[in-house]
Order: sequence, then structure tokens, then C-alpha cells
Amino acid sequence: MNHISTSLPILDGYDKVSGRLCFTEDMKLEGLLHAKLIFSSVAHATIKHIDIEAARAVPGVIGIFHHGNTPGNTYNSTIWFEGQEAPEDETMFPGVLRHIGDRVAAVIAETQEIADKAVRLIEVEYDRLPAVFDAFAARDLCEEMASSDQKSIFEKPVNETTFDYGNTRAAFDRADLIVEDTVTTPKTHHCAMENHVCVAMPEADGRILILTPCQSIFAVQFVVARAIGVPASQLRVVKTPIGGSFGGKAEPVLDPLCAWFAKTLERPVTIAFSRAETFTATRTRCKAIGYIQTAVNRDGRILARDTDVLIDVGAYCTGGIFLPESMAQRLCRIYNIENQHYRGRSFYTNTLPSGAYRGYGSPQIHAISEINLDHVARRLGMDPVKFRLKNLISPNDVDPVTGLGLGNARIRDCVEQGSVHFDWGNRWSAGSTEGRRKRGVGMACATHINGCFPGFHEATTATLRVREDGGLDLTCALHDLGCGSNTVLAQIIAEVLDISPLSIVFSEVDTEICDYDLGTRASRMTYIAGEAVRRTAEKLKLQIFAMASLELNCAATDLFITDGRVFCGDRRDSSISLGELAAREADRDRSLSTTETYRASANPGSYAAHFAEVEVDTLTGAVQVVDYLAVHDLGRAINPQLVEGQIHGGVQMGMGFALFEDIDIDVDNGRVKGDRFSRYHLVNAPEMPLVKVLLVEKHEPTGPYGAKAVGEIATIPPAPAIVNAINHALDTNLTELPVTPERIIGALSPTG
Amino acid sequence: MTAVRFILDGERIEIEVADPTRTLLQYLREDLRRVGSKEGCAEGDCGACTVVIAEPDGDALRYRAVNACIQFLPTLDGKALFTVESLKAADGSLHPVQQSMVDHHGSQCGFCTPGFIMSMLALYHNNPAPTRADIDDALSGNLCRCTGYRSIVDACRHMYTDYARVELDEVGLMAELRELRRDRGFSLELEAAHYHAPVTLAELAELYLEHPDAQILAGGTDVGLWVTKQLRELPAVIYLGNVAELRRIGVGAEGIEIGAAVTLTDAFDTIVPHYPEFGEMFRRFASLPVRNAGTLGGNVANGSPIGDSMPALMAVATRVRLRRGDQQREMALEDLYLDYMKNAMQEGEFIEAIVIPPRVDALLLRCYKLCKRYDQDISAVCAAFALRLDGERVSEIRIALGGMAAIPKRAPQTEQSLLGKHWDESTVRTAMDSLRREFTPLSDMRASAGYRSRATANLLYRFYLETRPGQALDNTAVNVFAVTA
Ligand code: FES
Ligand code: FES
Repeated sequence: MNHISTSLPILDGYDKVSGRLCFTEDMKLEGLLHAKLIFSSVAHATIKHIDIEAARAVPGVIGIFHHGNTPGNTYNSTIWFEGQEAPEDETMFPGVLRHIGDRVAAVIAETQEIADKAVRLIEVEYDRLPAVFDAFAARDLCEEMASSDQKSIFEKPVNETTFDYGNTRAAFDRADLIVEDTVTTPKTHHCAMENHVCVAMPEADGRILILTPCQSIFAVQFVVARAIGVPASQLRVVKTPIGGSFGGKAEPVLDPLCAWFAKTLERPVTIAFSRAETFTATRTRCKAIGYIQTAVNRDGRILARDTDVLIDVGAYCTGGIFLPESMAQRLCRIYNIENQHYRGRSFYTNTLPSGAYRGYGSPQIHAISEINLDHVARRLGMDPVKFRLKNLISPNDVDPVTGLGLGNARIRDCVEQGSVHFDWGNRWSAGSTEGRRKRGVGMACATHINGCFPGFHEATTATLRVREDGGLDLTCALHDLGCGSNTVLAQIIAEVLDISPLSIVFSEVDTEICDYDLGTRASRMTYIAGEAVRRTAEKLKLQIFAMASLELNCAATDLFITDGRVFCGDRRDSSISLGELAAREADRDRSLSTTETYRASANPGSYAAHFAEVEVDTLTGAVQVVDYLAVHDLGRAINPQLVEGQIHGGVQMGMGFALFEDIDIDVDNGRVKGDRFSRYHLVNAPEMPLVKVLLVEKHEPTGPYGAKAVGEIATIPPAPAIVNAINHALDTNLTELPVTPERIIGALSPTG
Repeated sequence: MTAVRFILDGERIEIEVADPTRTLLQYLREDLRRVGSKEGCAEGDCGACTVVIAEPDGDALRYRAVNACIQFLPTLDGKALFTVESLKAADGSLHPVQQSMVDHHGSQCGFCTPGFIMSMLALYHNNPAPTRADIDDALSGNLCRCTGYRSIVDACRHMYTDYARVELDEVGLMAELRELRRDRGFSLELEAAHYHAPVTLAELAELYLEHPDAQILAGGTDVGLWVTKQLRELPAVIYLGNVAELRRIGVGAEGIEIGAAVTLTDAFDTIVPHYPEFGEMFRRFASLPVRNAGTLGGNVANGSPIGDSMPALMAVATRVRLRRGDQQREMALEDLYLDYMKNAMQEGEFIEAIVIPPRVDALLLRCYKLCKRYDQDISAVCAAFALRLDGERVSEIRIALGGMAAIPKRAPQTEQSLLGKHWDESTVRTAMDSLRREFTPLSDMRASAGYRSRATANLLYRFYLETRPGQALDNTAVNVFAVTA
């Protein structure tokens, strides 16, 4: 059996390169209506008057929806299942508009052109309300209003989490050195190449079918049911191929509206956002401002740390309630720090809402902590690698806050091997060069989770059935977001049963046929879903052996499967194919199939250490990342090339986070300035360094074939590694991301 | 009514166009239902819609990757079009470009993939042995959020080596294209808008006199956006791309003459050997599809305050030749611009050519571009300096700036104050102050006013360091701020 650790090309590669894969916008649907939305042009207001008459009169306009004629049910788009709690502050068309880009109305028409034209005839008058655009102002407002009982939503924090263990205060008192920093990370956008899009249509029995590129069909079903006020059973949700998500499509933004339009108009309706709409009216990574103090003794042991994070969640809560907590988690799973205090507070602002985004708070909190740690090392005059090695956790250490084991945590291996590979010691001590272009090196460590355990319903149910042609049908709500997770899962099944991974047919991801699943989030695909399908395949194998032992008259313990056939010991003449077995079962009115639910019982850490070399042009402030090494502890790489693809993509995103990407809210009026690719810069091919990847494969006992997650963590360490390299090159302490040329020039020419 | 004629997958297509500003992407996706080409931005920034256009270039076929989302459909007339659907063999087997992408994991979610495939196809046919830099350049207009590009770059390298080469029937295609050649221009006079595509300069001049309100369309990289993004309605469009005289490049004793319909790619290739100092700026100018479609004439005609080519051209005393009917006149480039988006052209007058004088002796020339991202980003500031010294005194200086005013502009006061002066530290310090006084830039999303002023003055200082008599610094040598401080 040789399907693990092989770089099988993605299963739907042919469809993708031939242009045949049908994305949501590519579907041809009879009688499809098109929607165009109008968005608030002011940051906080009530709608005084809306005039839709002229738009309604346009031939081809079928319907116009707004606050006055749609259900005002409140919901929270981040919820995945009944009983999960989070403030419900969204409505399809709110009466009070909370940010520029909030939804005012929608025109539905026979064609997109008609909808686009008609929408321009709608006039909206606003009654403006005061607005806040940054977390500091929001915090001050909340503090000012703390004693008042008549608080509006913006006058209360969304959430606050603290933890405190050891005795931080006492440790600070004994420290040789305390280094403090304020690190700011920007609001950034997912920039999946496919814009947000959704289709909904009535089915013959009156239910609504939603076709949507999403991360969880059951979350869509739940949220839409809540928003439009129908039972979930009235909704069927099918995932369509997805042109990238990264968390951006985790929350159903368009689905409630689309379903409501289809239900009301009794016609299929699509909403397809333009790039600017995707930028300004969906979700972002939340902005974080971290004030962090680290206390060390002279030889580089971290004695204590105090972290205070302000989180700007934007105009709606969405997952803002979970963010302080999820940032906190990451602070306790990577360094051995005996005394820590943390406070994370999230606040509303009148800016576009944040949501899930690859890493879920991790890139921010790691930028805060890893930039500060480098600063500590500089102040101690110590090599940042040596400094970190003095403090990193070891395998099987325990998270002091949750008491959960961290599994076979191999961050030390990552740092040690990486620093050898990168020739870190020499490059770091060489210091930066003289001249216009200065070089420097930097590194950062990171950790991330594997699934949602112990929270939520961390389980996956899969059904495997042998077809009569010997292939397998897998029924499971597996949301491949384009990262190739289905390919990895096929390899795992193929490994257990020794069949060709290409003979496995994946079911539609459809609420009608799949068991409940959390969907693709929290780095759970390989680790949780992978283990679920592995166990299902193992169980199926037992069933196959039980049958084959009767058919072949052979002890089950002597049986083995090769190439889709079951053999009895070394009797080469005595064998039966899986297909024949299935056919014989069918003759007996049974099917050769099994269903298995796997519930997680651990949440080990995935780890990474990234090393970067930059060249900073001190004339222009431009930064080029000239060398890059990513070292990952992922237990085992089921498909090494897919793993590398995740890492390269993660570095592209993290490098943007460090250097360019910022949706840049105008502090005067709350407008999004970075609303198109010519103003919001993604790293392109010429900008990308040749990223080298080194994998530490030391086997995680609880993962399938020893595997752990890699998808999210890949984007966590790049930003601090690159910023640390810039600070090394320039001997600066830049802490505001993105580190733009203007900020660099500013730091280099203090006289201005 | 005249039909628009082009070749698609080896077959001649003739279509009646109802709206000449309909984009090629809309046509492909909506009319032909060839939905392989994707829309990621509809403004020429992401490359998801990339298609390949082939047309004769002398005796050879020339392939260009262009963004279908900002290409007006009628501009396809007389050309051959390839989309991602064109590539597969009849038996369903993949083209080397495609197979290499599968085998090297160059596609993850797949949304960007068709666009990359087409950029790669143009590279495959134009360049049999690309360097890493050529590959980067070929991919520079395509964004991918999943792969980090590495696997795509690998696929590019291997598409030549690992698979049997697939050639097109270029001879046949050339013959077909020759048949589509028009001796006279064609016009579509439709209810939605009028579209004219003259083929001679005389025809063009006459047409524009007749329809002075028409929008002149060259590469469409700007005009395309006005229609698709700003939803501007253009009642009439005159397309320059087929006018033979405007597609010419002349290099002679008079200098370099670049016809108004010459693409940025070709224009830059011609200029750089004479003015190598512009090499870096031109390379960073825009993505390849935009350079392939956009024209230098269009760039100059729009006169965007943040366009990069104008300061460079002004610094070397470029002139523009204008034409109105059968009247020609020439003026210095800087005199073309009057105010924000206003120029000195009269009704019915258009740019015929851009005339760059031959390089003068002992010219000291630099062009600096400051922006956020290194490549293909719009500048915060673009500054070009040209200097001649008589001994150590300034005998001639031209300073031209982009991003510092409502138009691309020279700095006459500062230039004047420098003439005859000794080219030394104190002269330059004074000139830096003068430059700061002479311009009042704006703050916008690319940079603050303060940064622009400071950076521009610093660039002048930088220029001095690189040109000071006797001890000029190599342009890679030193941190300007270390010396300033
Ligand atoms: S769709 Fe983005 S460049 Fe055309
Ligand atoms: S593969 Fe997803 S955007 Fe390129």
C-alpha cells in the first residue's frame, strides 16, 4: 500500500485546467433572475426615506426588497447549529445602517443589466447617527457609557475574555528586563479569486434549494432558516465548487437574501457580487491592537507576559464573540511561560464586519507576540532563535489554561532544523549590509489547532459503500475548498483498502443526503475528517473480510486486499474482487457499506517556524523578500505536494499581511479605501520569493496515519518573520502592519 | 450591417454586434456560454479572464495574452482568438500547458486557472526557452490566492520539457487572417453606439473631424474601465488599433517615432535601448496583459496625473505630433497638459505619434518610481531627472514629476534656479527646498502629501548623489537618508 506520502494530483485537476469545472456563476439556469443590491453610503444612519418608484417602473424589474418589506428576524451568520450562542444582530435589510456597505435594498430583474440600471434610480435619504471607526474610540465610548443603562449596541463591548495563571505581577517585579510593544494589524480581506455568489430556487415541493460555494451547508441551512423564518426542513443546501474561501465564505452573507427572493418571487434568483462589493460588503479579518509586555531574566528565560488586545470586529458581531478567546488559546500553546495574564476585548465599530479568516485570530496574535519576542531578543542582545529555544514547549506538554495535551508537539525540531537549513546563526550575526539596499533576516514561530475539540460538536460521519464495479461511494459532507482535501481523504481510504484513489466517488455535499457536519473550518479536514474516513474504511474492511472469508473459505486473519481484490494468504488462485463481493451482497438484498461517526478526543497543536530574508531599498522603502524557509510540524504529509501548495499559498497571504494588504478605512468617514485590486495589493508571481519547505514528520498518534493540519497555520508566521527581518535589516522597531514603504521611510528619516 | 469577423478555434466567426462596448468576456460567457474564462474583477487587475489573441506581425504570428473583461468585442475584428476551451485535443487529452498544471499542482481551487493557462499559452508560443524572469513577467497579470505561484512557475518550466510539443497550424491561420484583412475601415452604426475602425490615417482623421464627440479607443485599458466600472455610456467610439500608420515605430536620425496605436510592450522595447535608465521603471509599469493591450499613445492622451510614462518622456524632451484633418502640429509633451484631465487638443484632433529625440551627449538621466508593491503598482510618486553639465555647472536640466500635481508636470522654477549653478551639495539643498515649494501634492490612499513632498525632494538629492562630478555613486550604492541625516 503506497498511497500515503505520495503527491497524487488533485482529483478534479482535469476539470479545472480544461475550464470545465462549473462554478456557481457558470451554471445555466432557466428563468434565472438577477439581483443587484444598494449599499449604505453613510457609516451609521437610519433610513429616512427610500424612493423605489422609478426603479419599479423599469421594464424587466420583478421585485424590490428593503427594510420595509422583508422579515426583520435577527440572526448571527457565524452560528453553525442550534444552541450555539452568539448575539443575533444581523437582519437581511437592517433599519439602522451600521457601516458603509450595509444593505439598504435589492432590485431583482430579468437580467443583470436591468438590475444594475434600475438600482441607480433608487433614492435613499438618511438620518445620520454618530459613528466610530476605530477600536480606541469604541473602547472609550464603552467606558464612558459603562454606568448608563440606556446603552445602544455600539456602547457595549462585544465580548471580553481574560485568563490569568501564575503570578504575573510578582514575576514582573523580579524581571531583569521588561519589553513592551504595541503591535497593530490591519483589516484585511480574503480575496478569494471567486467573488461572493449564491443561487436559490424553489423546488417542486415548495422547498427552497440553495446552491452556494460555502464552508458548511448545515450552517447555511441554520442561518437562512433563522433569517427568513422558515423551518430548516424547508431548505435544501448544496455546496457548489468554490473559487477559494479562506473563511470569507464561511458565513452565509448572500444566502438568506437569495433564499428569500426566490421564495417570494417563486423563481430562481442569483446574487453575484462584483469585486468592489465583495471587498466592501462581506467580511474581513478583524483589526487587532495588542499591547504586550514580556518580562525576562538576563539569560533569556521568559518569566511572565501580559497581553492586552483590542479587537475591532466592525459593525456586526458575527464571530467577534469568539475572537478574544481564540486569540488567547494561541498564547498558551507554544512557549513555557509560568505566569501569564491576558485580556482580550472586542468592540463594535462602524466599519465592515469581520468574520472567519484563515487562522481565526492567530495571525494577529502571533504578529503581536512574535514581533515583541524579537524585540526582547534584540534588547537582550541575544540571537532570537536561541532565545526562543530557551522557552519553547516540548512534546506532550500541557496547555496551562485548558489542561489539554498538546500532542507530539515538534516546534523545537522546526526551529532547530530550520535554523541549520537556513544557516541562521551566520546570517543573523552578519547583521545588515551597508549601502542603499539593506538585508536582514527574521524568523517567527507559530501554533494552530486541529479541529474544534473540546468545543462544539467535533465529529464527522461518513458512509462508504462498495459499488459493483469495485469502486467506492463516499457519502459525507466534505467541503473541499479547493485545497485538495478530497484528494487527501481519497488517499487515506485508498491506503486502508488498497484500491485506486481515483475509484472513489464523492457524494454531493447536500443537506439531503449527508449527515450533519461542521464543515471545513478550524483546520479539521485532514485531522478530523481524515480520521473519520480512515475509521470508516477500516470498518468496511472488516466487513469485506467477514464476507470474503465465507466466499473464499479462508480465515479472515489470512485475508488481504491488493489492487481491489481480496486474497487468501498466499493462495494466489483464490481471490475475489471487491466489485464481485458487492454484487453477491446485492443478490442477497444487502449492501456492502458502512457508516461510522468519529468523535475527536484530542486537539494537538500544529507547529511551524518560518525564516525570511529581506532586502529593503532604503531609497524607496520597497521590501523584497529574497529568501524564505518554512518548516512545519504536521505529523505526516499525506500528500507532500498539496502540503507544499498550502504552505506556498499561506506565505503569499502572510507576506501580503506583512507588507501590502489593508482595506484601509478612511477615519474621516468610514469608507473603505482598498476596494479593488489596484488599491489592495496582493502579492503576485514576480514578488514571490522561492519558498523552501521543510517538513518535520514525527507522527501525531491521534491523527490519521500520524497527520496533523497545515492549511491555516501556513499563513500565521510569515508576517512576524518578515517584519522581524525588516527590523533586523534597518535596526528599527516597526510594529504597525502592513509595513509599507511610507512607514519604512518614516522610520528611517525621523527628521521628516 | 457589417459583421465583426475573427477566427476562433480555427473557424471563422462572423457576428452582428448590438453594442460595440460589450466586452469580449461578456460575449464569451453570456453569448457563447464559454464559461471557462472567469470574471474576478472586471477591471483588468486579476487576469482570471485572460484569453490569447493572435495576429500577424510581419511574417510571423504574434500571440498576446489580454484581459477579455476590458476588451471591446469589435476590436477583435481581423484577429484570432483562443480561450481555455480551445486547448484540449479532439480526444480530450490535455495540452502540455494544461497537463503540466495538473501534474505540478498548479491549480488548487481552479478559479484563477483558466486565466493562468492562457498567459502560459502565449508564453509557450512566443518564447521557446523562457528565463525565470520571463516566466514571472508572463504571469505578472494573473493573481492567485491559493498556490503562492510556485507550482504554477514549476508548471511553466516543465511544459516545455516534459511533454511532446504541440504546434498550431500557423501557416493556415495566417492565411485565414489574411482573408480577414480589410482595405477599408468598417463602421457599426448601431442604436446603442457607433463604432468606427478605420484602417488608414486619412480615414481616421476624416472620421474624427466628423465625429469629434467620439471616444478614441486605443488599447482599451482605460476606456474599457470607464464603460465596465463607471458605467459611462459612450455614444461613439473610434478604434485606432487597425490604423496601419499608427502601428508603426520609426527609429532614425530624428529620434524614435512611436505611432499612437503601438502597444506599451513594443514601445518600451524600442525606447529602452536608447534610454536604458528607463528600463526598471518600464518593467514595473503594469502587468503584461495591460502592456500588451495598452498603448503609449493612450497613456499620453489620458495624461493621468499618476501615469508613469509622462515624467520619463518629458525628461527627455519628448514631443507629440497631433493631427486634425490634414493638419499636423507638434508640441512639447508638457504643453499638452493644461489641467486635471484637460489637454490642449482641439476638437477633432488626436495624437498621431510620440516623438522622442535622439539621445544627446553626456546626458545624465534617472527615473525613480515610488509605490507600495514593487511591481505593477500605481506610483505614489514618479520622478524623472535629466541633466547636462558644462564642466561642473548645470547647462541643462529637466525635472518632470508624476503624482505631485493634477497633471504630470515639469518643475520650471526649480529647473530655472539650477541653471548655471555649480552642481554641488548646497545648490541641490536649495533646489530641494524650491521643489517642495513649487508643488502642493494631495494626500490620497497611495500616500500622504507630506510623504510625497519629502520623497520627491529626497529623490532629487538621490539624483545628485548619483551624478555629482568626480564621485558619483552607483545607483545601488547608498542609503540616501543615511547621507541626508
Ligand atoms: S476579470 Fe480580472 S482582469 Fe479581467
Ligand atoms: S487556485 Fe485558487 S486562486 Fe489560484
